[in-house]
Amino acid sequence: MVVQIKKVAQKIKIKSPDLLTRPVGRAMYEEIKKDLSIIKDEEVVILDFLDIRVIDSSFIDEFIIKLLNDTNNQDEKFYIKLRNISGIGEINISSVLRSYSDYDDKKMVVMTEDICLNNNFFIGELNDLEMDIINYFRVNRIASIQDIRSLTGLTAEETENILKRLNNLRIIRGNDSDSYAVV
Amino acid sequence: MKETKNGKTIKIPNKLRDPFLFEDVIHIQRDLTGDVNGLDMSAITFIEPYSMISVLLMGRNYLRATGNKLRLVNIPVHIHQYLVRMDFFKPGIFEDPDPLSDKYLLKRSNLSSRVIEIIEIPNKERMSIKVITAVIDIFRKRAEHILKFWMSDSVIDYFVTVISELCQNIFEHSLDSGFISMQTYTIGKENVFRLVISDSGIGIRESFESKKNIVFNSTADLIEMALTKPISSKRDFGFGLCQVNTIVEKLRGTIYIRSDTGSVTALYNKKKSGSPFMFLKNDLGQFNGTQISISLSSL
Repeated sequence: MVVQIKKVAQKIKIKSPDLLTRPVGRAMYEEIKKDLSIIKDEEVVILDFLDIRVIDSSFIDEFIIKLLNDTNNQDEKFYIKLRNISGIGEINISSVLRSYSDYDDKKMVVMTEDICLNNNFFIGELNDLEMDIINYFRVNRIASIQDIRSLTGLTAEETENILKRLNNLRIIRGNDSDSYAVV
Repeated sequence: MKETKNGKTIKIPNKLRDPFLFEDVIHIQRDLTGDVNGLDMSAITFIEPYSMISVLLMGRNYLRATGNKLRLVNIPVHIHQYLVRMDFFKPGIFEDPDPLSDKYLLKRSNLSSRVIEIIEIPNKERMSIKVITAVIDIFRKRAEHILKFWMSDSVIDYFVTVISELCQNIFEHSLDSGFISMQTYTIGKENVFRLVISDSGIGIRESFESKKNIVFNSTADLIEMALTKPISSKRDFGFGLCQVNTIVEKLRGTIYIRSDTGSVTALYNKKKSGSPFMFLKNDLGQFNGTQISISLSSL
């Protein structure tokens, strides 16, 4: 499912190119939840920020963070991917995600369609090994545990644990019992 | 102090030129009680946005304490012109001085749009969001003039974030309304951009009163924590000041935050590896609320 954020904003009467403040984030979250009620299990939801300039950290905390939390909490699990995020949007998202990671021991990462300022297709902090795996998935789309073992040189158990962790972060999708796929 | 038929006045020293000098003016507030009801502006040769809004807050504190409006007397014409241009008298906090004749009024044209006049940020969420949206709308329209010397799309977006985060702090934490203003001006060969967002609310220290898990040694220490770590007095995390600090550092600007009796100055324009750039001060004169000045400079 592709959600045009600008259209959702217009529904709550926001005409500005900026999405700012907690109340606006809360209103947008409530609005988008209506759209998400019809998604399938394990579906990828693309949030398209076309024509949106600035999203501030308050908005991000009430909107993107809540949605990221929902991806794993709901009966219907899903994945989030961001499209057309502006430079300042990316900086602000990165800062909020880093705060959760540094001060709450809660790692949060979100995939993007476009290459980011960090030269990756995600925002958030991953270690080098996780980054290599994510980049491998981006190129190969689908990979088995054995493929990833060949890449990392780790045991099957260690490899599976990493893949499960990345799946729990909702940045790779379960494909079948033996393989995962890019979000 | 000088006595006239309308009451006693205190002469403000010519120290309205930057936030640091304004420290020498703050003590005047202590004497603004009883029969002292005016500020003599005759010595003022220049006034910048931080000092202007701080004087406005002084007037508001006086109005709240006494029920009376302060008078500004002996205002030099060019200062009077500037204050009128910046809508200083619009909130009705000071007694209206004798009006300037039309020929002295500064025109509001594109050439003078290197400012955003004083705008009050309400302390009620719904109203505040409307005003923040309006301020950002004005800023976007005037940004190419205001940020002429630092111009790029990303600088404008950075400041949209800064304005939004700091204005939200007013209605979320200060329990009072506040004021925003900005201006780009020239001193000698230096171009200075200054954004000021100030309130006279409960201040940073009191807003963290109930957060027993946040340990700090002094008001300045707490301000520095709020600037560099995502702490919040209301939630698990607060990103606003932290994000503002990151942006100001990226732009190699300066940030000055004063709250109650403490202040923190971060001079990112002077930051070199190893040299101090963050300065903490405590035991300053009491001034209610939180006053923030963000500056960029270019030669």
